[in-house]
Amino acid sequence: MSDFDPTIVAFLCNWCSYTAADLAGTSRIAYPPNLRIIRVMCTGRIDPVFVMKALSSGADGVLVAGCHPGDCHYQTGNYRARRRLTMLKELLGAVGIDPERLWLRWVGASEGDLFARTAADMVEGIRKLGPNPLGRAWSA
Amino acid sequence: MAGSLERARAGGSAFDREAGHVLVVGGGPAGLRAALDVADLGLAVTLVERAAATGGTLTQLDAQYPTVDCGACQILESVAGPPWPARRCLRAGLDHPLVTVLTSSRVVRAERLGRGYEVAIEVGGRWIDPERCVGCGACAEVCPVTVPDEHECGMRTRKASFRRHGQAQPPVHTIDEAACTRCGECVEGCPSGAIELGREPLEREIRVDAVVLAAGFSGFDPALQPAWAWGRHRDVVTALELERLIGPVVQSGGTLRRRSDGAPAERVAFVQCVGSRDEERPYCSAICCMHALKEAILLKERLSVREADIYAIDMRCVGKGYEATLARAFEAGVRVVHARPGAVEPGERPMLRVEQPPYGQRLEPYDLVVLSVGVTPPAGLAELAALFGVERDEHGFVRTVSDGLARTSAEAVFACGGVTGPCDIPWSIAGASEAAMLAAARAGLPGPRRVEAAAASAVLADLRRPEAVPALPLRGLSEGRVLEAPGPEPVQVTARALVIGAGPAGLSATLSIAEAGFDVTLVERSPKPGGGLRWLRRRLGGPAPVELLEGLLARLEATGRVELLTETEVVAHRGAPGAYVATLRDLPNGGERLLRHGAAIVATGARELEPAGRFLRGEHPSVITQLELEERLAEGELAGRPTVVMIQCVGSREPARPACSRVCCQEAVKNALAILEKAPDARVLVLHRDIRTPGFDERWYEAARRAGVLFVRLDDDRPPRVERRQDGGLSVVFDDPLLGRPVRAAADLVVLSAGARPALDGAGASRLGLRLDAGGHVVEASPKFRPVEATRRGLLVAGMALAPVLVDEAMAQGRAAAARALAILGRQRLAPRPGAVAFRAAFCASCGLCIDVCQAGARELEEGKGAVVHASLCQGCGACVAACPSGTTDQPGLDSRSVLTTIDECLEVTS
Repeated sequence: MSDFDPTIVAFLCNWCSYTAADLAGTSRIAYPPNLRIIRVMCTGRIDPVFVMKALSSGADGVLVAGCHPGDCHYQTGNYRARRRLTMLKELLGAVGIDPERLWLRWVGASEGDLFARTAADMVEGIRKLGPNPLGRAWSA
Repeated sequence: MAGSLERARAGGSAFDREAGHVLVVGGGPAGLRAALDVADLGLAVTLVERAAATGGTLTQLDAQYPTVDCGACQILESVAGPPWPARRCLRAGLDHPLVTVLTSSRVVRAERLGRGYEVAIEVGGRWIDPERCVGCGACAEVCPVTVPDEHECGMRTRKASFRRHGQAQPPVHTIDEAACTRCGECVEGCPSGAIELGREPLEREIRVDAVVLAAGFSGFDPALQPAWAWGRHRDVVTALELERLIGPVVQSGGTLRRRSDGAPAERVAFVQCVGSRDEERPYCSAICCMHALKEAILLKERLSVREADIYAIDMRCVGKGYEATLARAFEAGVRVVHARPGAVEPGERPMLRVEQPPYGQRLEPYDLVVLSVGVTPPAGLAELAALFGVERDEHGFVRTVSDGLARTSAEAVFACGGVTGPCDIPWSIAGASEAAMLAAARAGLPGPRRVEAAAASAVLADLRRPEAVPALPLRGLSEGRVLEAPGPEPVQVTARALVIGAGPAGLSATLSIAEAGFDVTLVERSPKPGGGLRWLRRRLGGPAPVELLEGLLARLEATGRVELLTETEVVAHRGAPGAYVATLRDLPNGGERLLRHGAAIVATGARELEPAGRFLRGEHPSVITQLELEERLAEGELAGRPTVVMIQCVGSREPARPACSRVCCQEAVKNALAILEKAPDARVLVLHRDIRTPGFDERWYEAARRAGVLFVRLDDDRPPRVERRQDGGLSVVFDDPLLGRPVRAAADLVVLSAGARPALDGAGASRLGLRLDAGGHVVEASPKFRPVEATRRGLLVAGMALAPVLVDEAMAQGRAAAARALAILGRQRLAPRPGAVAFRAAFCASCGLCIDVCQAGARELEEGKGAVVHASLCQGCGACVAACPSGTTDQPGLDSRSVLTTIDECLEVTS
């Protein structure tokens, strides 16, 4: 299991978390290369289908990161994301996917180091969970 | 850059002459906002910033009052400027095709030339060629020179080759030329050969039509008051130093540690007015009370701090939503002590010496003592002001002249933000927009003669590169084509503005728009224009209101472009920026007409609250309001030796009306001074909870105290009582906290400082598409960074409709709103914003979920069409796309199909 290298699809909001990822880059803070980053304007744009699609296509984890509560560029998008993803986590359990494969985190624009830490923590967490069973079954 | 030029042309301005040129000095929030507003009006801007990156002090702060969140992504918003890829976080700077940003640069000469100036700019920061630097930081790694990092207030270090902070723009390193030893390590270490130590600065001359000074402010140096032990005890820090201490942990929680030994800091004291409200600097620094409150809230809510005590003379929470922040602080357990500490006794822990009458003197131990240092003029302001022949005041700030906040003694030079005096961000931004309006008007706004394909765009040259120097001065060029944006049709702009309310804010907005050559319909509900300028009889400083009013009306008349409709009300308002339709009702006869216009400014103002039933108001003829007193004083009805008792905060800062009314303290001070002018032997007693005279208004408070006006602070929960005496007269009874017993004062006149009550009611607001807060004031897009924009895109608000303001502030907001309105009106067509969602009517079930999630009001149910998208209102967040159950809505460039494909592509790479 120790050689398992998880693949994580990360949806980052344009204003805070993507900027933070950018900052981590320009500040040259190292973080694991396991993230596949997709930028959306707002976490409120994230359709639960995106998360299901990523998991069913074999992603070992999905990270959704957006602005801290109160900081959303569009006022309420991150609150909507929080509600939707909380619901989705319940459903993931029901269909046999460990809800811990889906992470929702708040990472502000000036928190490059937090972004890097979050990425590292998540890779570690998913590594413990092991590969996504859906990914293996479907790609076989 | 090519991309942004094309975008600028696509949404380009239709001002029909080559654009003028404005110089902005300073790249903090005020300078950036002024530059963006001038550029939105189609004029070229050169922004000169002394530091290596823009953003100013704001880049050092992680959260903003009053909301205690970030919001830095809001500030670079523009009404009709570049679309979203160019709108970014403030820390990442400004990207507008009409704005040339010169960092590490300064103005070295300025000479009058025609109506403007010929300006010489020294462009420094050239030891590393920004064109070749790839931002890798190899130079900093090898650099042997370590110096205190000013971005971290000197509490950390940086190398002589550095980047101010991770997001600083341009994304290149700069060499601190003063610190560099020219050892040459970095020249060797640079992989792109970008470094040449000692490369001379360039000097560039440009002609500008107007200048905006926005060079910011400095903090008072606490080393000048040794009693605070700052610099001697590591646990005594300034408020800005505290920002940097908590910066890395404040957003996601953590522990605040003492600097001396790294132990958790459990007790923190804030000492207010260090370097303000004293003999040497008698003004109030205006920002420190709120700043301390914000920090105290962060410490209590997010960090481990057990006690946060603020020592203040008065808590001056003067601004919209600020009183709520004070309430939030109390709820979080922050303590406010009305005392002025004298010193910090150094020991293992800093001991604060507190003198608090009537309790006497004591020493309080704290883990951290935070000095709320006052605001001083920025370094170099004297030289800068002298270059342009601008007068400064006795404290060294740029002296502004009424009306408004941005005019200086020089006619082509305007100022905003910290250079004009203590000023928090909403006023820096409003002042910046006002300065932009005045500067653009001076540089020449030619009016709406529509030329089909004209689009102002400046040919921008990189002034850092000597070979690329263009023919000077930089001027806008007319290009013969307009690039069509794909997607929805552009909106044809109606070249007329609607201004609702003819008080100081509405009148100044109207005048700015009309003088720019656009027609304005000015609607006023009462029979005469003027509003506050009519019922106020005098002001603290500046010309009398009636003189201002007459001047404004005469100038409005002279433009020949203003249709003034009195006794008229707007009963319906529909549409989107560029193309609105209003229904106007003539109140006396009920007749209605439709008005098409391209931009709307709401300046509906406020009235004095009627405090009926309070303090014998209505039962005794000698209980009057401040405005009634002002009227009596103007009519000369006060003589002899009267005793006047003023009661502050009637109808403000109470459970039913929690907001502070902002203007009553000034009003009380003004009337108290006027009473003593008329009747020098009069006795005036002001019963208050805090005297809130921020900034230079402190001098009037000081003058009133010197003149013998007695100010008595009462405890919040012990209001005074007004009683009728046996002989029919009045007496006021209150608990004097200094004497510690009730006091009874006979009064000839009791004057109630009744709060302001906004004129616009809920129904009126919803007709206009505005949201009101609990106090009945219009909610702005961002209270800090977009203070004159409503939550609905393109709708502008100014004056007391937003929150209580003084006359000059209202007029500044009016001009700020006018600048935004002209950014719309100056365009012939308003292109839909890229990123706006697209809608396919065929599948729409009209369920309305998208309408609920849309914060921009861009979705609306239309009969037979479904939930249509108003593309010009859409912010492009995509929330409605996620909410739509039937897939009728999608976001071009970020459509669901592309996202799903991208997910697959992401995963294929690894498998």
